[in-house]
This record gives sequence, C-alpha cells and structure tokens, in this order.
Amino acid sequence: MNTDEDLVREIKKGDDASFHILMSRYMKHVFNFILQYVRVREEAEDVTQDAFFKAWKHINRFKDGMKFKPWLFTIARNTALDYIKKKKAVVFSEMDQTDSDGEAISTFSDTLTDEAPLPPEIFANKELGSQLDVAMNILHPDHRAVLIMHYHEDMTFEEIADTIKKPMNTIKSWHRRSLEKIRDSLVHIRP
Amino acid sequence: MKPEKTYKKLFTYATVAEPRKDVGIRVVTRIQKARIIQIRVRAGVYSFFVLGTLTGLAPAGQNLWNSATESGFLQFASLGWSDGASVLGSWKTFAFTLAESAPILETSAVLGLILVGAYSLKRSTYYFSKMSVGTETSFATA
Repeated sequence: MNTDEDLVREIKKGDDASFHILMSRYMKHVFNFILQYVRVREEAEDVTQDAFFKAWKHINRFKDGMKFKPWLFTIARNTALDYIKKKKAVVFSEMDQTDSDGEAISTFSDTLTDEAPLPPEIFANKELGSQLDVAMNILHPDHRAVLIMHYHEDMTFEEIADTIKKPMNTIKSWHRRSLEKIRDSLVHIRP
Repeated sequence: MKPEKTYKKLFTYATVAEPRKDVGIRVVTRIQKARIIQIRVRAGVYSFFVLGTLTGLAPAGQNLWNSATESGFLQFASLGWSDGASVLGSWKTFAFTLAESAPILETSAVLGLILVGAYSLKRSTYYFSKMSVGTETSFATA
C-alpha cells in the first residue's frame, strides 16, 4: 500500500486518482475532526469538502520530509475556524489566550501532575457513549480536537502542537484539564 | 490500568460519525471544475502570447532589416558570395567587420520572439486539445 507521502508525490505530478485514494483514506477522520469545531453535521460536511479542496489546491506547499496527516489536519482546522469566524464573527484572539472558562492558560504547573485514572466502574455504564458526547460538548473546540487527535488519530503531542500551532506544553495542559473536566462530568452523572 | 489506557478505552465509546458519500463526489466535481478553469486560463494566456509575438515579429523583423542595412552588415555579408576569393584571403578582417556590423540586439529580439512564440503555440495547442478532450478521465482510474 502506498504511503501518504508517496501519493502526494503522484498528486503533484497531476495524478488526481492518487488524491482520490488519499481523500477516501482520510474522509471520515477529517470529518470527525471538523465536527469538534462545527457541531452541525451538514455544515461540518461542507467544511470537510472545503478542507479537501484546499488540500488539493495547495498540495505544492507540502514539502518532502513533512508528515501528511498533521498537514491535512492543520488545513481542516483553519478551514473550520474560518467558517466559524464568518458565521459568528467571534474574536478568536481571545480564545487563543484563555480557555473556554476564561482562565489564563498556565503552561508550567499544569503539566507537572499526571492525569488521575478513570474509576473502572464507569465502563459498566451502558450510556457511557452518549454521556461522553455530552461531556465533550462543554469543552472548548480546540480542547476537543486535542483529545480526538490524541485518542482517535493516535497523534503525538508534538504532532498536535504542530497542527494547532501552539507550544507542546499548552497542548499537554489543555489535554490534562480537558480530561479532568470529562472525568468530573462522568463521575457526577454515572448512576 | 494506567491512566492513559483508561482514557484510550474511554474514547472508544465516543461517537464516530460518517459523512455522506456525496461529500467525496462534491470534492471531485469541484476539482474537475477548477481544472477546467485552469486549462481555459492557461490556453488563453498562451494564445495571448502567440498573438503578441506574431504582432511583434513584423516591426522587429523590419527593425532588424533596417539595422542590418544601415550598419552595412548585409553589404559585407554579400561579399562572401560575390567575391569569395578576396574574402578568404583576408578572412580575419572580414570576420571582424561582420561581427562589428552585426545587428546583435535586433537579431536577439527577433529570435527571442520566435522562441517565445513557438513555445506559446505549443502550450496553447496542448491546452486547447485538453479542453476538447475534457478532464473527467483523471479520477476514473482510482
């Protein structure tokens, strides 16, 4: 099976069939990633379409030595943020500096302690899936995206930091605090 | 179980949505439309260059002729045919005189226009042929 980077080389030569293969490979992943930002399914599909079109249009910006998945997810994130900005006219510079609760991000102390494990009885809950979706809903879009990239896409913190264009300590801080919020949410609502 | 593994297990319960199949089809359609526009623009640009070089060749050629006549290059060059023996006898002087009187700039201009025109003609022909064949085939082999 051709690697992503092999396919990109073919796409650069004008082979659209290789783009089709890459798109099929990542369609579901990109869609689920964008869904963390654009919470309406139909709109997320439109943004996904835009993201893939942009990836095709700017394929020559992908250089040898780069990894395709973080590059594609960066495009997807930027496309989603542009869409949200157009729709809501939110000043995103505020979001960059603070988390969704308005607290300033501490990049040092938050990374020192490890996450506490989940109590095992949580997994006995039949409604865990839907409760997890509810718990995820309260998080900032970037924090949701960090969790999805780490746990669904198996991306390292370094790759995530490269995708979101934030320092790795910030990503780790977001990751830890998001898990705390999810754990607290699940522990409180379990029967 | 390590904390990382418990959260890894937790996220296997998260909803994973599937986009509709037509999302991919819409991307492909959009790319094909962009390709058609790209081909049309390039065909237009290269056609413009062909017309430009053709338009420019006449005055450039006239300019070359005038310069070659005024500098005496044509007269000196014609000596090579009319009085070959004398030319061979003093070929160095003949060569220097020819080189001095040669309309280099004007010749470069004409040659440059011919090269650009020929290349533009080749590319515009290529893109016009692509317009008539269409671009639908490129995704069909996937």
